[in-house]
Amino acid sequence: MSEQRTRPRYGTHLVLLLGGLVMIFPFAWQLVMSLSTQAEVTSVPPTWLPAEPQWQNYPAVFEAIPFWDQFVNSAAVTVARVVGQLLLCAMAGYAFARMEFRGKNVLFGLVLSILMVPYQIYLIPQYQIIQELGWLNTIAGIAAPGIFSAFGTFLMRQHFLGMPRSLEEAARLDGANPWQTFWRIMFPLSGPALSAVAILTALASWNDLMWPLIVATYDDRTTLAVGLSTMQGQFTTDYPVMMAASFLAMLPLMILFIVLQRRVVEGLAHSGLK
Amino acid sequence: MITRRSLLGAAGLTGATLLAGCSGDPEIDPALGPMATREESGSVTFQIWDKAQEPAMQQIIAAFGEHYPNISVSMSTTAFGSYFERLRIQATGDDLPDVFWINGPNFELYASYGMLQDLSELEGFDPANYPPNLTELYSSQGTPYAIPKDFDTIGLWYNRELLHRAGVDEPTGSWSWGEYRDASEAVTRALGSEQIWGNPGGTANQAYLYPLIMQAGSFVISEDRTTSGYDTEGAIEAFEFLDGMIRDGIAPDVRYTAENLPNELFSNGRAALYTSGNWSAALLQDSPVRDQLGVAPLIHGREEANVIHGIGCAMYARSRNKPAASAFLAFLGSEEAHRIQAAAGAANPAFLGTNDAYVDAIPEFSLDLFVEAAETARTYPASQNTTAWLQLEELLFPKILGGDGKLVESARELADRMNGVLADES
Amino acid sequence: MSHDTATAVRRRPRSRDGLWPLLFLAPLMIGVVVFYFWPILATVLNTFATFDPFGGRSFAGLDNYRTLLSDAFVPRAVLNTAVYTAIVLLGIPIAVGIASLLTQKGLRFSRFYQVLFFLPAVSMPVAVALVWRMIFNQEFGVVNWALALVGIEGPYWISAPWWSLLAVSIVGLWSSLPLAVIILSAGLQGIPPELYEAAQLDGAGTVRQFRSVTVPLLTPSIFFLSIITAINGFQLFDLLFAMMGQANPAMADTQSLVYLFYSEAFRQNDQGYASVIALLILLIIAVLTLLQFRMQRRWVHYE
Repeated sequence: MSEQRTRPRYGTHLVLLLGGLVMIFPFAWQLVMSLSTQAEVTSVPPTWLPAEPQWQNYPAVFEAIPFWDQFVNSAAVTVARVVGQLLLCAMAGYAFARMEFRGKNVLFGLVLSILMVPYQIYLIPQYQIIQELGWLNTIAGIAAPGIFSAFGTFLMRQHFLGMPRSLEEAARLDGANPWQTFWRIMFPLSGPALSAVAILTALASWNDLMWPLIVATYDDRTTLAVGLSTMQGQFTTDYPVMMAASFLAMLPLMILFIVLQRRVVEGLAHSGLK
Repeated sequence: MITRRSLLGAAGLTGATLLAGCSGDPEIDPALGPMATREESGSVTFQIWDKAQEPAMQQIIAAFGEHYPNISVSMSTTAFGSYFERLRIQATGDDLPDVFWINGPNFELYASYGMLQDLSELEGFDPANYPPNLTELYSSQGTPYAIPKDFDTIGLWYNRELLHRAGVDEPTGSWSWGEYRDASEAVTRALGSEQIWGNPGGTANQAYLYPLIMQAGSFVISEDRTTSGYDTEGAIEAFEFLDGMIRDGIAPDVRYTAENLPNELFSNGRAALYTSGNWSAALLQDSPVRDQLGVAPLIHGREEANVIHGIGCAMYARSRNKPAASAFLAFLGSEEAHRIQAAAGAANPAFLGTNDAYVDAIPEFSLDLFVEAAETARTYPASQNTTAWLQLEELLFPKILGGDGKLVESARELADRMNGVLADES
Repeated sequence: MSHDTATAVRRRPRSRDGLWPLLFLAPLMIGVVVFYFWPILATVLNTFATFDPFGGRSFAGLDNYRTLLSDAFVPRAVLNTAVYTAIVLLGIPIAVGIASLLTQKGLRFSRFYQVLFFLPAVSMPVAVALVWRMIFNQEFGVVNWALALVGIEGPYWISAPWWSLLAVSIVGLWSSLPLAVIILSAGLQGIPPELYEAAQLDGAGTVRQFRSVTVPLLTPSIFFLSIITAINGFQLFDLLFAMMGQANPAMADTQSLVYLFYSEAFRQNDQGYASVIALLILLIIAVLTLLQFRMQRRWVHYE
């Protein structure tokens, strides 16, 4: 491999650059369309650059939906789900990985079976529970079902299985009970796995459409994904404004993703190990 | 707190019957009861689906507040695409809003399962104030369960500029099928190279296929609501009329219109003729080609036939706020409220004699012809479980017009499946 | 707690942790039981019932199962869903290729490339489906424009049977690729360099090294990915729904299983029959997952 390092790898760069451009093309195209006129969007051949950027398509989004309210709601729901999952999944994952009790494997299998069921079958029952709790149109109602995650539990269990037992043995000899061992030693050492769970949860939560749409109807109490779908129903013929709205809705996560890139990759990488 | 009831209720759509007895409050009186007085306080929830009509509805709520200063109304809007999905989930959970919009396809379902309040006794509501074909739509077995809010009929929108360029005269009265086809052909032949069509095709039911089928002397659903009309001669004739234009390259085929929606084509100046309702006026006002647009009466076949449909305002039969809801619903049906929405150009009001305000609100187009059409228009076809066969239409209309030589077969399949749905209703 | 001696002996190692597992698991399990187990159980029971649209139900025996067997939409939906899943699974070998290029030692601009390949992971399905609809438009879409450059007249990607399934699958592949690349990159970085050096000493070229060192050591990650990709693939709905739109002549031939479930539950108002379809989906996924676990012994190498 050492002699390879010295000569530039044109082939590799060519493949990666072309492949990478294909991957981000939809975003780039979305950006172009958001600054185009309706006629340019549907022109043959495609208009690669708008003759005059239509910046007013962006302010139009803020007139169409209460963007900031929905942004805050999306963010609050996402934070609630992330925090809730980190705690609950880590605890449960730890129990499944390190504790012995009757029916452990059966229970774990049952929890995983949730993943095999399409989410649509949960909609009506979950709605009824949230209604019963009086949580319709609240952050808590939108966030609640998503806090209990089978996948998060699975990832945390895999992570704890891979950790050396020696740390816990030492703690136990010091007289720590299982909770102290977990909370003071194991949890703080789980950074990458926790960030994997946090990232996957944040993505799912930010982009979730069907559930918030069912539990939160008031425009200013729902999430950005729902706001976007309401707009699609209304502006069927105004593609540029739709594109601007879509771009704005995705932008916060994109920025977060690019800024935290290294941590994100490191965290996600852990989700596949073992 | 999670109660035993919620746990059981969690069994889903399910639970509901198991517990029909104990869910909700049995003490709710099916009778309408007295209306709130002007001094009484209360609160009402109100659910609609059209964001574009939100401002007008806010004005109505404000006007209502002057009559009933102590009743608050909280309105929520759900996109139409998911409105009825949500409404049904709410109904299953005994959690419908006090007052809400309903439409023709869904009305009978909610009325027949006791979800809607019988409005015969509602103070200040007189069915004679609205077009009879609309009160019929919102009555079940002679009892009114919703107040007509507005109505739509269908007309022929056209693009003057494109017709002129193709040497076609603007329609002045109602064109025959033949004239419509000839005009479409002339435009497509003259301007096809610029990706401009005579008409934008499509498989719209209310605005295109229903009226055509009726104009060919047939029906969508039989009067006793037991039989589909899609395999009748008239329906086949209507399908073949549209299929013929597609085959001859006059109108775009269904694959094209699935990717390029007819309303987009027309509002972007890429189609010259477009059969659609007066609801299009609000959208076409913002069209880049609005100065070129006009509207004429709908085309006619062997018979003249138009279809009328409108939104209805209903009250939940198990509403906990009936006195306040009665006051609000009665106001929604009043002349005053209808004048407000008309003047805002939001919708064509159903209250007889208030249409002028709407016609004047959008002076660009001569909307009075939509009002005139209401007099002879036929009631929107519906049955108890209309949404079930609407979905079949959505799936199979494009197949019928798909140009695979199986037009009649596919029409029969649609009729058979629809008959199956209708048989399950009884 | 009192046990007879025999069970106590048998259980001793298992009950070592006393009530602690309960404490750790209870918060999660309460939610899981209420929000997930109970609905699943209800769905299974519902398969034996007919429903009125607002939940009232009556016992229907096996009627819904009979309907399933005679419904012509079902076999096609199974096929469509399987084809979609198969195409999305093709993303895994592609991701192996990309990941091994990305993790080459000393590669310049690698962080820049990472951003390019990972960004689709943040895409919002509602937002991105609309963009893809434009890209695949038969008339003004970029794909057919590119095909026309090489003299091919492009198909109706959104509205012709099979093409529409292919278009949806391509988008599915596109959106699942980033996670696969990330996980595989991590797997690759975990391979000790000594193994490559040893292979080089044995005279193995780049291709041989890739086949006999890289791929075998990646198999655990590949296995994990193929499990979650297959599970997600069989739940195809949002993308299909958003990309195909309404009044689409290809819809009848492109429906997925979950789409069928959705139309029965929310459009046809037939919750009983919808539950049978849900059960079918669950069974197919369970069998597939089980098969994958069975077969892993043959090809997955854990060191």
